[in-house]
Formats: sequence, structure tokens, C-alpha cells
Amino acid sequence: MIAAFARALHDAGLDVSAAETLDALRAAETLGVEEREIFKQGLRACLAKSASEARIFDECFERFFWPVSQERKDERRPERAASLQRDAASFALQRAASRIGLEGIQLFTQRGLYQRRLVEEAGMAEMERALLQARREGAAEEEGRLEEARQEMTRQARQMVERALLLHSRRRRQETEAAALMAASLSALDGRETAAMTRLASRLAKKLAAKYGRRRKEAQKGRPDMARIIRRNLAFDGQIHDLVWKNKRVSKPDLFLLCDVSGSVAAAARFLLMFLHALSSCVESCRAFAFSSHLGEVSALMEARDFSKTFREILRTHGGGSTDYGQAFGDFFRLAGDKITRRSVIIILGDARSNHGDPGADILREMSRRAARLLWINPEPKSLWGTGDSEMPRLAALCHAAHGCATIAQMERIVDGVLKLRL
Amino acid sequence: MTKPSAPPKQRMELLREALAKKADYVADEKIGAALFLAEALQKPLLVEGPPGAGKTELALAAAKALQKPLIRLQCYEGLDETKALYEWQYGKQLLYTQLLKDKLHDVLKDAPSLNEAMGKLLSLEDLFFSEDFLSPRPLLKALREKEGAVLLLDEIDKADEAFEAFLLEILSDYQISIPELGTFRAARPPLVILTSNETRDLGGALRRRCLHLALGFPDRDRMRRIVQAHLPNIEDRLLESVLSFVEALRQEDLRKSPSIAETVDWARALLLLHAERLDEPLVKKTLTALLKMERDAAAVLPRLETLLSAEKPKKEARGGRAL
Repeated sequence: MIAAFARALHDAGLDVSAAETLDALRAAETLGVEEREIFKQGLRACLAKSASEARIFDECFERFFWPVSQERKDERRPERAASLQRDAASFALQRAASRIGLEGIQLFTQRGLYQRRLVEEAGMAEMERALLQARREGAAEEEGRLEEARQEMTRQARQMVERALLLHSRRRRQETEAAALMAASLSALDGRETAAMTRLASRLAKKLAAKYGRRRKEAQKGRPDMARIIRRNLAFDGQIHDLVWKNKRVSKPDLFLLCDVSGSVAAAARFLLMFLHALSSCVESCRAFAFSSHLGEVSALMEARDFSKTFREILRTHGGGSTDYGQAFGDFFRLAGDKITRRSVIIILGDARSNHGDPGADILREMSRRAARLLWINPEPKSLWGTGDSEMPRLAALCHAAHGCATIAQMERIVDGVLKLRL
Repeated sequence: MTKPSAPPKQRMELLREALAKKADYVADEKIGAALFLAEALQKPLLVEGPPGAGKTELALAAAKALQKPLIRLQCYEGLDETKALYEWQYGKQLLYTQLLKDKLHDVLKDAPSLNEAMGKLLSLEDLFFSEDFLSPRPLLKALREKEGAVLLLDEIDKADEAFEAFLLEILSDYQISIPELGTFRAARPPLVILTSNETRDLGGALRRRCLHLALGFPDRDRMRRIVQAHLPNIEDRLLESVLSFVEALRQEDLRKSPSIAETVDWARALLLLHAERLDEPLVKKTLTALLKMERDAAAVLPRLETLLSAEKPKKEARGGRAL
């Protein structure tokens, strides 16, 4: 029972491990199942490990342990016979459900199929044969009873399938949705998709953070490492000859991020900023700049925990102008030009459409010379580079690399590449 | 697992009663169940919630209720195992080597050859890395406590991820490995309570090993009992308006919503001022006990009147509370 519930939670999007399921079993054993509320609290402590998970847990719990509460209510009813019938049908269906693997249901189109299999397995055929027999023999009372039982079973089977669908379909739905979103164009999202994409992007970012966060060596710089000093100097009679210092191994890039946040590319900028927002622990330092015509630093805003608020603020202060790359690069160079070193990685996100103004190629060349890497990410597909007022071919030649980046999957690959750099 | 003698519900009630009596801690059913399970299953309990929701207090109260010593480890960035687990007493070790040098001659005096001298040396006990030179830090101390202890790892989210990983062995097996000495196993597993303010997301591995308790601000009924537990002689009418006002404040978009402790402090201040009911000048004077950020106070001050009057029709809607 608990295992089945854990499976339901898993399908609802919670990551429930085998160990946690065992914990839940022990908790159920310790607490008993008589007190529904205590039972629920206990399971929740074992299985839901954050506030948002607790919400999903509550929902699932009510759905999964629904029959218990329902039967309790039914007991008050005087119609013993009807109640018995209901129990019989329910019992037969429960057993049938586990035999046919009802928890495998994932799409709403499978409802009919599963319902038919369920009643077949629960002995509907025999019941109908008996019903026919009774009808032929003209046993009206028997016929009525059987007919009722048949309807009862159909009704319960339908409910059961509905509940199973609600319980088990969510994860699959999310998985298909995520797969579709991975390939969706960033600039053409509607409101609902943006929300889903935000979730997806933060998940991807977390994965990257886990992958690269581990690599950094945690140690303080410039302090003597007493433990190692003594161990190394044991050979000298406890007199200290060799000093060992706690030092920090630096292998992480300095990141500079220049985001065009004008209307045409704001969507892509949003996700790139979001990625780096979540990845701040994986880089040595990260300074973010936003521009449409004038450029300003937004690093301080990126410190805030709530990203969507941050991004609205960025759009308000820096968005809305007409793009001027020459101006923006000039501003950037003035603000941070002297901070660009051989360990710096500069990422520019923009469509390189400077409204026929100066694209700032000279400054870009200088930036490229000073930095370890200069990457350009363009949300437009490569086939559009160089059309109209796009200066992309000219600017791309000055960068170490230029990528087209229309989907979140591409963006993940690019960020992954940046973090992989050994400088 | 042995079947407990008394029904769990009863044992849980006993625990909650002990919390209330010995530590003035008002625990609702959720808290009671989580703490009871943590004790019964010997699993660490991870408590998450906004600052001031009573997370640390829960651990202190649990220690009092279970009558076990509380061992506390405040986590911070850069905390490592030498501060959390154990440290060699280097000074003593140095002295020991000096001592050894003097004694070495006596011991090895009658060994004719180098080989024999080595043999003799090896036969001596390795005292250098022994428990005598070990100075236990909170974690080791908690494991060595014979009668069990309550181990509080406060604000675990402030520590680095590396430290979190290091905790895993202790949390799942109640044992630690000291490379030079071997593995220490707890005589009696301590009740471990971890608290987190959610300034960063904790790793999945840590979460999996813990029971979880999400502690929000208490509802009105529990809040009432908490204030009453601390200030038994507060009048009902004042108490109700205090609760309403704090609830109204929590609905506001504040940087730091008033916590339990601040509410109790404020109520105490009002009692000291012999206030019978809340009015605007009084609230203005005492608001500093409730709101600790200048910006929050500035945001609330002009709206005091509406906030105070909002309490009259009792609104039970708590859906959009800003946490």
C-alpha cells in the first residue's frame, strides 16, 4: 500500500527514493493507520522534503487514500445490502487493479482501455453471464440484484480509473512537455509556456550547478595550514622548517555578460540571465550588464533571490530603447574595460541589429584581444545573420565563437561549454 | 521494529505535553508527529521555514522535554570538519614529540642494532594519534554522549555544500570516520535537528536522509496559546487585537514580517505600558519592537489607521499571507 502510494507520488513529480519509502513504512508501522491525520503527518515528514512537495503530497494523499474516508461516510447509511455490494465490487476491483497494473495509466486517451480491462479482470463477464441466465429463467429479483451490482461495478471502475489517471499522469505529462519545450523557440513563447520554460530552465541550471559547483576547491588563502605543517615537520623534531599555506585553487572563469534586453531578444536574455543567476556559485565572479541603447550594470540586481522580480526591474531600467551596439560597447568598456583579463570570458547576447548605427567593431576587437574568450550568442537563426541591418557576420568574425541560440537546449549546451573552459 | 506498548497517539500527546510544560513550547499536531517520528525512527529532522517561526526554539524545547543535553552547532560559510567534528591538539602533540625525544634514548639504549631499535619502536603504542590528543567538537561530542543528546545543526543552509556532504555519514549511520583512529559509532544515536532558512536549496542527498518539517508562521489559535504561555496574565481583549494587528502586518509586503518572538516581545512591551487596548499613538511608540527594518516601519506608519481598523471584522482569510 505504501509502496503504491510512493509510486503515485513519484508519478506526481516527487522524487521518492527507495530509502524514503522504507522510512514511510516504518513510520506507518510506528504510528499506526487508525488516526488518519497522524498517519498523514507522519508520511508527509518522510516523503515530502520541501514546502512545494508538501503541497503535492497533500493533494496525492487525499486522492490516494480516498476510499478509506469514503467508506467511513458510507457506514452511516442504513442500506446494509447496498453497502455490502459496494464493498464486494470495490474489493474485486482493487485486486483486479493490481493484477492489470492500473498504475501504468499515463494518458487520458487510455481511460477506456483501462476501464474495460479492469472490469474484465474483476469478473464482469461472469456477472453478465449470470445476469443473462437470470433473465432467461425469469428470476426478476435475482436479475434486479445482479443488474445493480453490474452498474455499481461499472461506476466504481470509472472512478478508479479517473483517480489513477490523476495520480499517475502528471510526471509523464511534464516529461512530454519538457521535451517539447527543449526544442521550442525562445522568442515565441506565450505566458503559460514562459512559466513552464522558467521551471525547466531553473532545473537545467541546477543540474549544471551541481555538475560544476563541485569542482571548486574550498580553502582559504594566505592562512597557515597548521595540521599539514605539523605533519610535514614531524621529521624535523617538531621544529618547523616547511610552512604549508591554505590556498585556493582557481579554475573558474570571470564572467562578463552583456545582454541586449530590447524587445526583439528580451526573451532569450531572460533565460540566459536566469541560467547565470542560478550558476553564480560555479564562476569566480559574474558581472551582468544590460543594454538597449545605453548600457548599465545589473549585477547588484542579480543578487536578489527572486529572479522574475529582478528581470522586471532590469527591463524597466534598461529595456525599451532602440538598440545601439556602438554606444553599449563603449559604455561597457568605460565601466569594466580595465577589469578584463586573461581569465575573463565575455558573453554577448544580442541580434546584432544596430539600426544602421555604428556596431562598435573597434571596441569589440579590443575586448576580444584582452579576454580569454569572447562569445556571441544570437537568438536569430544563422540564415538571418547579415540580412537587413544585421551586422552579425562582421561582428562574429571578431569573436572567438558565435552561436545561434534559439532554444533552451542550445543555450544549455553553450553555458555548459563556458563552464567547461579551463583557463 | 518492536511494537510500542502505548498507542502512538498517546505517546505523541505525552511528548507534546512535555514540550508545553517543560519548555513552554506550543506544538501543534504536525510538529508533534514529526518530532515523535524523528525520535522513534532515529532519523534526523530537517526543519525549514521563515526566520522567527520557532525552528531553533523547537530544538531547545525538544532537549528540555526529552531531558537530554543540547549540543549546538551554528553553521556558517567556511565551517569545516576541524571546527565541527574534531581537531588534533597540535600544541600537546608537539610537546609529546619533545618528550619522546628525551625518552627515546633511554628506551633504545640497550638495543644493539638498528633493526632491533626499530622493532622496539614499533612495539610501542602509537600515542601520537590517540584519543588523548583529540579535542572533540560538537558533532563528535554528540556521538560520544552516553545517554544520547539533542544535536542542533542551526542554519545548515549557511554552510557550504562540501560540509553538507560531509554530514551525510553522520546523519545516516550516526558514525564518523577519523582517518588516524578508525570509525566512531554513537553509543546512543542523538536526536538530530537541522534548521534552514532556505537561503539556498539543500542537496537532495541530505533531504533524503532527513524527515522534513515545514514550519510556517503559526495560525491564530496556536499563536494565541504561544503568547499566553509566555505572558499568562495578558488580557483577552488586548491579546486578540495584538494577534489581529500582527496578522494584518503579515499580509503586508514587508521585508521582514514580524516573527513569533517579536510578537511576544511586543505584547510584553504593551503589558509593561499597562495598555488596555491598541490605539494609533501607542502602536506608533512601540512599533520598533515589531518591525526591525526602517523601511518596513516607514511603509506601515502612514497606514496604521487602516491596519488597526482592519482587525474589527474578523477576517479568517489567510491565503495570501506573505511568507
